[in-house]
Amino acid sequence: MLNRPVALRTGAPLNFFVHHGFLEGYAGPDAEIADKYSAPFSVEELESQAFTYSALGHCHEFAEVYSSQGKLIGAYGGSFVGRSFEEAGPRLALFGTVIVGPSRIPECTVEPYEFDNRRIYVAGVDVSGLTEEVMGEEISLAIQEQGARQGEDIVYLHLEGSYPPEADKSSVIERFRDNFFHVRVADHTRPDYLSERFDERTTEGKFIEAMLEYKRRVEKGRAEAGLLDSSVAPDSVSGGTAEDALYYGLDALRRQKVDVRNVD
Amino acid sequence: MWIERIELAGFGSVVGEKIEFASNKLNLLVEANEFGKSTMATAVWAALFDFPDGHVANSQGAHGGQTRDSMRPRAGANLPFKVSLWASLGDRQLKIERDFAAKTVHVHELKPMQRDVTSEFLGPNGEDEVGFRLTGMTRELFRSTCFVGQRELDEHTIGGAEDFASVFQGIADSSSTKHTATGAIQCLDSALTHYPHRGQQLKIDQVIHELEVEQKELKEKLAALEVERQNLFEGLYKLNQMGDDGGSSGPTEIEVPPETDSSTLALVEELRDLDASLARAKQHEARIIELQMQIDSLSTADPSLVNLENRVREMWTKRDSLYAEHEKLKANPNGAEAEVDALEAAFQKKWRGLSEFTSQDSQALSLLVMRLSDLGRDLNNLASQKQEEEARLTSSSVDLLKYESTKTALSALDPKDAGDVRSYHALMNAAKDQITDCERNVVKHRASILEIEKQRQEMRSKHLMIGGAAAIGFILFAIGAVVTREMLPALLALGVMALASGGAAAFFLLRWAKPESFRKRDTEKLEADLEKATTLAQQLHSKIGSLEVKLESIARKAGVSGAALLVSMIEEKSASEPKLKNLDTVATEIAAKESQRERALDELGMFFKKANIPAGEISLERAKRLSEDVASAVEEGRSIQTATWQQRQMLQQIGTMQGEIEEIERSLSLVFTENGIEEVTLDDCYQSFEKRIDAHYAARNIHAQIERLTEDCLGGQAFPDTTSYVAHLEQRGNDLKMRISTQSSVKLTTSSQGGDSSARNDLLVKVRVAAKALDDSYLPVLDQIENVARELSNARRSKLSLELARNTLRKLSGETYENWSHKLNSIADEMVGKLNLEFESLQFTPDLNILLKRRGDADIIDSSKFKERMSVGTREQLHWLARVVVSRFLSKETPLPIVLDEPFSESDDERFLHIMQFVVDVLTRDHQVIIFSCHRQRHQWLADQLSAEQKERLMFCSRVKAVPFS
Repeated sequence: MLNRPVALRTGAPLNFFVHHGFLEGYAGPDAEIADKYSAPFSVEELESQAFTYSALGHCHEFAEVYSSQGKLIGAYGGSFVGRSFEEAGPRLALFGTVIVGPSRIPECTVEPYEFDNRRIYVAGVDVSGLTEEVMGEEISLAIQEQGARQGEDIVYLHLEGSYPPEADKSSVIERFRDNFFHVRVADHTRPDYLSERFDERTTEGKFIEAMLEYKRRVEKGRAEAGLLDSSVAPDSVSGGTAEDALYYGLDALRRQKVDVRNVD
Repeated sequence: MWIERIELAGFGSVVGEKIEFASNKLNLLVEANEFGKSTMATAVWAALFDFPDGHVANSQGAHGGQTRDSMRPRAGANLPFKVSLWASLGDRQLKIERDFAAKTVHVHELKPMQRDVTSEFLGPNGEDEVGFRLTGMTRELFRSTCFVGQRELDEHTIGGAEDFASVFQGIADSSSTKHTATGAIQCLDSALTHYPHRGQQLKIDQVIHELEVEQKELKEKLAALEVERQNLFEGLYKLNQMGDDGGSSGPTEIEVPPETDSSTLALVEELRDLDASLARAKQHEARIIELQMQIDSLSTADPSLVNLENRVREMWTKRDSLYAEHEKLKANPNGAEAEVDALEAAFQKKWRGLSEFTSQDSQALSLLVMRLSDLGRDLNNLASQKQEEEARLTSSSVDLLKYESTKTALSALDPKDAGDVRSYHALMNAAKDQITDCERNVVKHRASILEIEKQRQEMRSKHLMIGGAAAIGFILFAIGAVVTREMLPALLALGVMALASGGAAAFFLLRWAKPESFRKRDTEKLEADLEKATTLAQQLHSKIGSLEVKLESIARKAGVSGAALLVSMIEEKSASEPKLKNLDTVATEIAAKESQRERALDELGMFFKKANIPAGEISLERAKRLSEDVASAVEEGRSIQTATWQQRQMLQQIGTMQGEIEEIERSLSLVFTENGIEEVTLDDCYQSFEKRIDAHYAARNIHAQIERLTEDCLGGQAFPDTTSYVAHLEQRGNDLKMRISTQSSVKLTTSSQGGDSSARNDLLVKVRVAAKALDDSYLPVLDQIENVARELSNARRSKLSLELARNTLRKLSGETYENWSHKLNSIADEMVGKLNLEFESLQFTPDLNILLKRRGDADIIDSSKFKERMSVGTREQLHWLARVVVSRFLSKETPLPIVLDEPFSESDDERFLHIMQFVVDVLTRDHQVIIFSCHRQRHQWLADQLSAEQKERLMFCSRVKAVPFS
C-alpha cells in the first residue's frame, strides 16, 4: 500500500501518519493468526514516506520501527485492552515526544505506559495422575509463574490430562475463581476411569468395550463404523464424539452426574 | 480360592494377632462386642484389594465408613499398619503382604515354589490388581456379593420393587454398584434437557434451533454487509477515478501575488479551509435532505412491531422448519406406517389371542404349567400308592368294600355328631355297667339284710334262751333268798345272784323283745345303700333312655336306620381306621393335590380365557403348548417393539408436529390480528409484517445515517443542524473575503460548482458513511458468527454424544439383565431346592426383579409386595440368598470365600438353623464360609443341633497372638 507516496502537507513542520497495516518482519504473538497478513508494507516503504512519525495499527503488540539510520520512525502501540486470550500480559499506550533541534530534523521518542489496569494471563496444567491437593498446588504454581496478580487480573486456565475419578476437580478449580478478577477454564481433562479394572460381565464393562471399539472404527473410517445406535447417523459421529459419549456414560454411571464439555 | 490365615500386625484395634481358617467349612469367629470382629472382617477385603485412594465424598460410602485412615492402628503411631493373608488357589499357596501406610503390596508364592510373584498381580502400568486377579472381581463387586458387612442385610432390607431390583441392577451394571444404568440414563436425559446455554438451562434441541436461527440471521446480516462493503469498494474506486480525471473542488479561486504578507496568507489559507468545510457541509446537507425524503416515503414503517420481531420470526422459522420436517416425514412414513402395520398385523394374525399377554403373564403361566405337571406326577404316584395299599389290605382280609360302604354311609354324619355318638355309646355302656354294678349291689345288700335278719333271729332265740334261763335263775335265786332269808350271807348271796340274774334276764329279754336293735346301724346303712343303688339304677336307666333317644336322632340325621346300627358302623370304622390309616392318608393327600390342581386349573382357565381358547380344551398338554406359544409371542412382540420403535417414534413425531404447527399458526394469526395486519393468507400476513419491519429498520438506518452525517459535518460544534452550520460558514466566508479584498491585492473569484464536483462530493459522503457503518458492524458480526458457529458445533456434538451414551447404555443394560437373569435363575433353582425353607421358588425377572413362591401357596409374590407380606427376618434372608446366588454366578470359575459379619440377627431360631444347615451342607462344599459374630450361645446351640457329619464341617476359630511382623 505504501509503494506510492502518500500526500504530505508541504511546508508543514511536522507530518504524522496514521496507518493500519501489517509490517513485514513483525514478530508479535498475533503475527501467526490467520488473516493477519493484510495491507502489508515494509520498513523501507514506510521510511520512504518521510513522515515525522507513523502511528501504526493492526498488529496488537508494542513494536517500534526504526529507519535504516536507527531513527525511530513509527511504532505499533498494540491494543489498549486485551481483547482475547491471545492478547495476554500488560497492555500499553504510547506517549510520544517530538523534539525539533537546531538541525530542524525532528527526533521522536515514545514511552509506553500500561493503559489497562487489568491483564490477561494464560496458564496450562496437565493434571494427569495428580491428587486433589497436588492438582491445586500445580495450578497455583502455573498461574504464579505467569505473573497473574490476585484480585486484579483475568486468568485463562487450560487443563488437560486424566485425573483420578474420586478427585473433586471442580472444587479445586472453584478455589481459584475468587482469587482473580475472572477465571475462565478450558477443561480438557477426563476422569481416569479406564485405568481401573472393569468386569466385562457388567453393563459398565460392556459399555466401555462397545464404545472403545466404536471409537476405533469411527476413527478408522466413519462409513465403516456401522451403527452402534440407530438414531445416530454414522457419518455424524467423530472419534471425539464417541470418546465424549464414553465418558458421559461413565460419569452418569459412576457419579450420577454429567459435566457437559465446552459449554458456558 | 480359600483363605488359610490372616495376620494383623497393626490394623484398627487389632495388633499382632492372627486367625487360621479351614477350607470348605463354616468358620465361626465368635467374640464379644468391641473385640474387633468387624475390623478383622474389613482386613480380609482390605488385604486383597487395599482401600480406594482419593476423595471419598461420603465417609459412610461404599465401604461402610472404613477408610485407610480410620483403620490405622489405634494403639500407637509407631505400630506397623500391615496385614498378611495366606490364600490357596488350587495347588498354589500365596502370601499377600500389604503395607497400608506405605501403600505397597508383595505377593509371595510359598507352594509349589518359594518365589516373589508380585509382578504377576500388577497391571501393565504397575497398578495393584491383587484382588482382581485372585477373585476375578473388582473391589466393589466383591464387597457387594461375597462380603456381607454388619447390618448390610438390615440396611438393604428390601421394601418395594424398586429397592430390590435396583440392588441387583446396581451389581449387574457397575463396579461401583451403588448406581444403576436406569439412574445413569435419567442423568443423561437430564443433561439433554438442562443444557447450560448463556446462563440458562434449556433443552438441547431448543438451543440448537435457536443457534441455527441466530446463525442464519447473522449470515444474512453479513451478506448485507458484504454488499455494502462491495459498494464501498466500488465507491472508493470511482472516487479514485474521479480524482485522476482532475475533478475540481472549492468554490473560490484565489490568485495570490508573490508580495502578499504573511497575515494575508494566513487569511487566504483560512478561506481555503473554510471553502472546503463549506463544500463538505453543503454536500452533507444535500444528502440529509435526500435521506429525509426517503424516510417520508416509508409510510409502512411501524416501530411497534419491533418488539414482536424476534418472536414472530422465531415462530415463523420454527413453523417452516416443522412444516418441512413434517412433509419429509409424511413423504416417508407411508413406508414406516405400512411397515409397522404390516408387522403388527402379521403378529396379530400369527398370535391371535395371545397379543395381550405380558412377560409377567408368560412367567406366571410357565410356573403354573410346571406346577400342574408336578401335581399330575404327584397324583399319579399317589394313585399307585393307593392301589398298592388297597392290595395289601385286601390281602390281609380287610373288607375294603364294607369299609367304603360304611364310610359312605357315614359320609353324611357330621364329625361332631360322630364324636357325640361315640361319647353317647360309651356313656351308655358305662351306664349299663353301672346299672349292673347297682343291681349287684342291690342283691348283695339284700342278702346282707337277710343275713342280718337271720342273725337277728338267731340272736333273738339266743337272747330268749338266755333271758329265760336268767329269769328262771332269778326266780330260783329269789326263792332261795326268800327261803334263806334268815341266813344273811346266803340271803345276800342269793339276793345278789337273784338281782344279777334278774338283770341279765331283763337285759336279754329286752333284747329279745327288740330284735331290730341288733345291728341296727348296719341294717340302716345297708338299706340306705340299697336305696341309693336302686335310685342310681333308675337314673342310669333313664339316662340310657335319653342317650338312646339322642342316638336315634343322630342316626336319623345321618340316614342310618337305627342307633344300634349307627353305633356298630362307627365302631367298625374306628376299628378299621388304624389298619386303613395309610390309605386314608394317601386319600387325603390325593384330595389335597386334586384341590390344588383344581385351583391351578382355575388359574389356567383365566389364561385360556384370555387366549380365547374354549375351557373344554384345558389340559396339561394344551397348557404347555399355550405357555410355549405365549413365551414366543411375548418374545416376538418385544422384538417387534424394538424393531419398530423408530417407525413408531416417527409416526408419533408426525402427529406431534402437526399439532405444533397448528398451535404456532394460531399464535401467529393472533399476533397479526392484534397488530392490524389482515391479509388473505397467513403467508401474506407474514410478508406484510416483514415489510413493515424492514421499513422500520430502513427508516432507523436512515435516521442513523442522518445523525452520522450531521455529526460528521458539525464535528462537535454546537449547531442545531447542518443548515445553520452552512449558513454560519457562508457568513464567515463572506467576512473573510471582505477582509482579504479590503486589505490586500489578492484576487478572489467564486467558481460555480460543476456537476462532476457535486457528484464526487456526494459519492465521498456516501463512501464515508458506508465505511463508518462497516467499521462499526462488520467485524462484530464476523465475531458473532464465529462464536455462534462454535456454540452450535459444541451443542450438536454434545447432543450426539449424550444420546449415543444413553441409547447404548439402555440397550446394553437390558441385555445384561436378561443374560444375568437366565444364569441366576438356574443357580437359584438349584439352591432353593436344597434349602428346605418356606420358599418353593425364587426367580429373577429379565429386569432383575424377584418373584417368589412359598410352598403350598399358589400365589407368586413380586418384590413390591414383600414388605407387606413378609417379616423383616424373611426379607433379610431373601436378600442374603439372592446375594449368594449372585456371588455363585460371578465366581463360577473360581469358588470364592464368603465372608459375613453378624448376619441373620433378625431370624428366629428355626430359620437360623435352616440357613446354617444349608450353609454347612451345601455352601461349604464349594465355598469357604467365614462368619464373624458376637452370639456365642446361639452358635453353641447351633452346634448342638447339628448331626455329627455336619459338625465335621463346622469350625470355631479364635484369635491368637502372632509372631511380630518382620
